[in-house]
Amino acid sequence: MAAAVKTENLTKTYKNIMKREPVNAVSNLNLEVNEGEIFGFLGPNGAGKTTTIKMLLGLVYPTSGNAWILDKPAGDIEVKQQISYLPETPYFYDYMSGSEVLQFYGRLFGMNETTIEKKSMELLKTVGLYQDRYKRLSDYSKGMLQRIGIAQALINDPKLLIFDEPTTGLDPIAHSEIRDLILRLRDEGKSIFLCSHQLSDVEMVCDRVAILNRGVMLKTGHLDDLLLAGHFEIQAEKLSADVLGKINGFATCVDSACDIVVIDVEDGDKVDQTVDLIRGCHGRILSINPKRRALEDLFVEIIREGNK
Amino acid sequence: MTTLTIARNTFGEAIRKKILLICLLVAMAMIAFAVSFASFTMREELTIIKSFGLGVIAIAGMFMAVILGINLIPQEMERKTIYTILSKPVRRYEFLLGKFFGALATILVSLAVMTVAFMLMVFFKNHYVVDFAMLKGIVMIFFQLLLLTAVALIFSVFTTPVVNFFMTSAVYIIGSLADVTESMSHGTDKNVLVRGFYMIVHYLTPQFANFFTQNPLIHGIVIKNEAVYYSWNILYAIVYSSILLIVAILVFERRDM
Amino acid sequence: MKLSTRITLAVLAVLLIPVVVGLQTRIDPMRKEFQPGHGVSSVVVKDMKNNPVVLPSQFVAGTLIGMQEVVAGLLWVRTDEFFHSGNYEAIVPMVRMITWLDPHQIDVYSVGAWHLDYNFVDSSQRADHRYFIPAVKFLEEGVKNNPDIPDLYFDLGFVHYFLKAQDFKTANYWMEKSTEHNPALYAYREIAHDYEKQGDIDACIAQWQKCIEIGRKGMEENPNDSLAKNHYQVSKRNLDELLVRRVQRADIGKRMKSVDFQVEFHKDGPRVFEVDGKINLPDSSRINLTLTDDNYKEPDLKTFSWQVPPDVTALWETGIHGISIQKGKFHRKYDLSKDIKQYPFKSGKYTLTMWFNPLTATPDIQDVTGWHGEAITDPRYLDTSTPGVRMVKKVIHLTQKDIL
Repeated sequence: MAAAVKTENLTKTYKNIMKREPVNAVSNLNLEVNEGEIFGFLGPNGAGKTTTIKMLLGLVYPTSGNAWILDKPAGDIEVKQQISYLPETPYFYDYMSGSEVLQFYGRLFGMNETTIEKKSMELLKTVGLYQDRYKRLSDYSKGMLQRIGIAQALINDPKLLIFDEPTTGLDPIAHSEIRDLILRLRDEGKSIFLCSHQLSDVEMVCDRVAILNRGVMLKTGHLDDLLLAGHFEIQAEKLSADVLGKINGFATCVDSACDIVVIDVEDGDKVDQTVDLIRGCHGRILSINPKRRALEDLFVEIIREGNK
Repeated sequence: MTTLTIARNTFGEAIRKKILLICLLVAMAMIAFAVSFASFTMREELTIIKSFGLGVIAIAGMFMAVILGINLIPQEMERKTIYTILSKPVRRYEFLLGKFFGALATILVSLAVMTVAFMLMVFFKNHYVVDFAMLKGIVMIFFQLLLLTAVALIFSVFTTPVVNFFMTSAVYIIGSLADVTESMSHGTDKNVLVRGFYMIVHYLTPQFANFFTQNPLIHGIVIKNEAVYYSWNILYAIVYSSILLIVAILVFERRDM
Repeated sequence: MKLSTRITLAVLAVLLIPVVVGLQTRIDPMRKEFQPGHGVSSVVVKDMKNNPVVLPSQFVAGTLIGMQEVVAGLLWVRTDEFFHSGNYEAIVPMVRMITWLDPHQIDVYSVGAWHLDYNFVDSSQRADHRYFIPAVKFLEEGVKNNPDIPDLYFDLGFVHYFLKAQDFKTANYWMEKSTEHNPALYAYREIAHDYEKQGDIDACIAQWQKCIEIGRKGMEENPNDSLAKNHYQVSKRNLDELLVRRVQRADIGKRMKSVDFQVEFHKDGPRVFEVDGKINLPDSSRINLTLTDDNYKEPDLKTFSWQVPPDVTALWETGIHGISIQKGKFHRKYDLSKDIKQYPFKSGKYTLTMWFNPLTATPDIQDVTGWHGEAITDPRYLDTSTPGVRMVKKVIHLTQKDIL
């Protein structure tokens, strides 16, 4: 499968004249986004996410390394026909109406007027702004602006969408509509590069994620793999206190009713050891289940580790 | 095509800018004010109206050109509208040129409005005869403003609007003192370094004074070889602006957004 | 953008630079020809150093951005205000500044010069003669900067030399110059009058004939041209009258008359005096009077300075300002105590000159005296020092105690 986005040792260093120390915004980033998947790009503020996106779009020139979009070098003018970008808190020209905005961007793609007209009406309906299409953008609420932003990101029917915080400022209903939209887009075969702080959204929609901090990629992989990595829950009974004590050294034991102990083994390697210990004291294993962590926990843990 | 789209958009935005509308109104008021000096001879009255009219149009035009020019790129960056545009298949130079031509169109329209008011006034005072010579002055003003906008644009690619305002104004003032810089560059009693400095200033900075043809126009004096003079000035404005635009494009091309 | 494209563009930009420089070298000489400004006239600029005028900063700003004409217009309005408020001293630097900024404002020259030698008056409405030369000098500058405008030449000749100074020869020079630039028709007529004032009757007749010809041609070209018609008729009438007079005065030398000119000077008080006298001439003739410092000389046009000398006294009453004769007597009281600035009386010795010049008299008086004073004589004060005219003139020398 071709890569929708690929970077190889992508680096951006800003020379700071005042402080004399160069700032490494992004260091040796290697990531890959497959076609047809939703890729979550996570990191705290200042991690280098926006800089990376700007490099992908050709807005910022990398200090070293390479980036490709749909197999063409990032910033290539032709490939921009097939991608779209929704920036964080997008701004548009206040004096334009909703439909004029879409007309403007449509023209930038070189689309003909009839197509623009048809597509913009469709999209306005999709994002729920059809009835406000003649209102000036200066009269739009924050949520409406976000939605027109999404509409302009879809006007050219792109293969790759780069969304930076698409759900900021939206109410819960709109929030879930956006999530549904993103999933629909993936089903249509589009690739989505999603930057978001809303980890609950990311968990719900993303196939793969990357976690970035201080310009360095700390972890990347399938969400399931990351969240399930080696985390197990073992339910057992008839354990001796001695064995319990040993297990407590590397796992968390919680007493529950009827003499059943629930053991939380975070380290996948220790599962075998736990099983052996239980069997050794003639305890009874009732169940061994993989436990899925919350993305938020994983995120916080990785960032903290990275900071050490 | 893309350039045209950007230009149209720039024009639409600029023409609605309140500050421009105020400028236009003030200019019209000042032109009307010139009529109130009624205690002079007919010839004096006409002279005053013509000199005030052209003067006010020039100042208003200058103000517009500078205000538009210094904000062309920085405003887009501040409002982040530039990101949604440059992420589309828009080449950077297309964007820059589109902004420039859009600003120019705005200036042209504003000039046209002021010129109509001015010509009407002259018409009424001049025994109901249209004085087409005044249009020559307007043409000179326009090309002056074209050059000034290009100066503001090139500075806007790498400075803030506030700094740019002073830089562009300084360039304009230096360019108005063409007489001084020219005579200083030829003076025989100055040392080579000073002469060299003034030579650089006179021949390499945009000489706006070239366009100040209002004196002969107001007094009905015909410049020798008028057509040649005007053509050279127009050519000068176009060539110089082209140089500035090329440099602006080259700088803008490699700028991190 | 590809690197090759960028390099091409950069090279193009560099190649255009000499084009710009080349254009500028062509534009410069053409621009200097028509643009007023800092290099307009080195004489003017040097003068400004002696009489520096401080422009308020907003006016300076105006000139910096090519708004010279607007600034000149505003300054002219201010000058008008100065005139109405009697602040005469401010006017000279103002009009010089205005014309330095914009040397093509014709009205500033003509009205400015008129203000200078006509309107700086004392409490009895007598103009300050010391401003005559600055006025004339100012107009000369105007003529130099606007060589194709007939109005300024004519103004200089007629308004100043003819009417004010009664210097008919110089007046003729300037009025003739105006005819080289298509003046109004009355210019030609005034030249004729001027010849008569000079006493050159033949030239006067020739000039009237010229006027008639011009009028006739004008009517031929355009039968509706009322100005040409008027010019023709007036010139014809004047010529007729002149010819009649010439005949009538042909033998005037046979009707000699002694005018018996007598003049007395009385001091009434400090700076107050009276002039009293008799002369045997018809009513409405006028006696010219000047009272100046002993060493008074009209400043040389070439070497004078714009500053009116504050210690010079020059009371000047000539032409229509002269003392009118009624029934053979004339009398005028002068109270100069209110106008110390205009008449400082500092030099200590003064010359009072009083004279009658038949050339400047009205035609009915000339019927008695002749154009050139052929018919007049006087036992004491006949003055034939000026060629072509017989005048009566008395000179009285006064000292400080005669005045103060």
